[in-house]
Amino acid sequence: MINVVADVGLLCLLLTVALAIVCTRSPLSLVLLSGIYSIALCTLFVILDAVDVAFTEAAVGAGISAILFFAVIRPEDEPVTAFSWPSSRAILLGLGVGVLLLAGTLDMPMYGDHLAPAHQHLALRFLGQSFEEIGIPNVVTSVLASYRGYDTLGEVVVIFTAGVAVLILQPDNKKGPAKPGDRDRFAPELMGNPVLKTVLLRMIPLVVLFGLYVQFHGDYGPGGGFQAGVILGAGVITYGLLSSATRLKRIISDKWVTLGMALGVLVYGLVGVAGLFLGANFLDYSVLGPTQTAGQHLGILLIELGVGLTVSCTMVSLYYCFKQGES
Amino acid sequence: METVYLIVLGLLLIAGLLSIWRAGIGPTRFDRILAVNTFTSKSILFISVYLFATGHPEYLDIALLYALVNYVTSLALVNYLNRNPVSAND
Amino acid sequence: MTEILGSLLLLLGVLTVLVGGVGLFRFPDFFCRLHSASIVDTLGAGLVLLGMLVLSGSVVIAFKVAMIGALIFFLSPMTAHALARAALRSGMHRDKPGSGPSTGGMK
Repeated sequence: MINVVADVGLLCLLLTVALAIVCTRSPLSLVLLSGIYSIALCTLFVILDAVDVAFTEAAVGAGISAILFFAVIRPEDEPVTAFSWPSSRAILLGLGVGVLLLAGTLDMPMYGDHLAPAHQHLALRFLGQSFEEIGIPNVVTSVLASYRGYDTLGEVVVIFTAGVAVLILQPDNKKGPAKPGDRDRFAPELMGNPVLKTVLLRMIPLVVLFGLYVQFHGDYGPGGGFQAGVILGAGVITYGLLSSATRLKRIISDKWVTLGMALGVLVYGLVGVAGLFLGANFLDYSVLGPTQTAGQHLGILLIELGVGLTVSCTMVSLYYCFKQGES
Repeated sequence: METVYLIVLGLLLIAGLLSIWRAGIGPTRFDRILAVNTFTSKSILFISVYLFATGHPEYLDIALLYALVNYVTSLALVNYLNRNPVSAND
Repeated sequence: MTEILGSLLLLLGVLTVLVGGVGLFRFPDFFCRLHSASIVDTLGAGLVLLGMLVLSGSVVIAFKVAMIGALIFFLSPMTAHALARAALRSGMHRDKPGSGPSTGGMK
């Protein structure tokens, strides 16, 4: 009963937000509404028992994308035109794609169907044996980091590539170190206000601490390198928001950030190669330690560190790039 | 106990719907921001109560993450409003 | 006993949140809505979290609930404060007929 009420209610909320997103014109409202959409969506993920996915959605969808969007939108982007209905052709196309997608879902197994193909061999192996094979309570982490380590390596490389692509696209930054000027102060309106200053500054260590908790607790609860990287990146960017990107750059220079992006991928890859040299397959961590589970533990810890490093550095690097074009 | 949780979750959903409605109709941008903020705090409550109701309170990390995300986005928002003192019309 | 106390706190809190939500929906101008959404909502969230604190069986969970409560307790009023300032600086006043623009107690 609780499930039904929560499901139906949340789907109604999602529909309302989606309609509001369609109808709104201003970028600020769009960012705000997509934040609501993300939050409602990840509440839905929690109800579907996909706790790790919910974590990612909350950290990425509602957290870091909102920060990055706020870093790039400007008030003068506001359109002057009011909402108008799209052309009938666009509406027809949208409806057609929607019907096709709905027809596609008819072929999928029902939610929780024990006869679904995925539950015939994969889920039995993962749920039944992963604790003996990997020795980690959170099956999602075992699957993500060990059984499907190859896919995860691919994902990390994708994030790294995206970061590098943005670095290439950014305007020329060979101006030398920025001179301390009036941009190099704590944001005066934020820091001149005692209420904001007291609350905001003291909250940054908490965010970073929570990021580290998510990083190292990923074996036992929801979380892992990706989510932790995003939270840590958000914590660092928060300092930039409170002071200025220039000031943040003097603490963590963009060279180090770029290096960290590459270093994370390198750590991940080297752990895989180390397995090769010790006589196992690429990304097979069992041989890294004295026993199989000890090796798996060590391997997963190391690759999660690599993932966290790459993701957090990429987020900070994105923030730097967006701020570069402004000054 | 089940009934209590059910009532609480239902009322929270209604309150969330009201916030979303306000976020949708505005009329000023500050109304939207306010509505988003209250919606986030309502979803923190919703998810915590839901996790208690289904007996998985160990996943409260998610609600904690929501609260921190709420902080970070509010800060980005306040920063945006301070950098760009904008007119209220939307 | 703890169950009854926890349920009562939960129900009281969620009713407060609902009242805040109705206020956000129905009040005529931004500052009224801000009042309803921030003050009433913080109280309601605090009551709900207090109820969960009573219901939580273990220390770890109680600690997490308390953390969430502390975050909401500090952040929600802070955001409301910043919003009110930003709205005031953008030239939005609460115009009452005959009494001139009122700044709603802000300095």
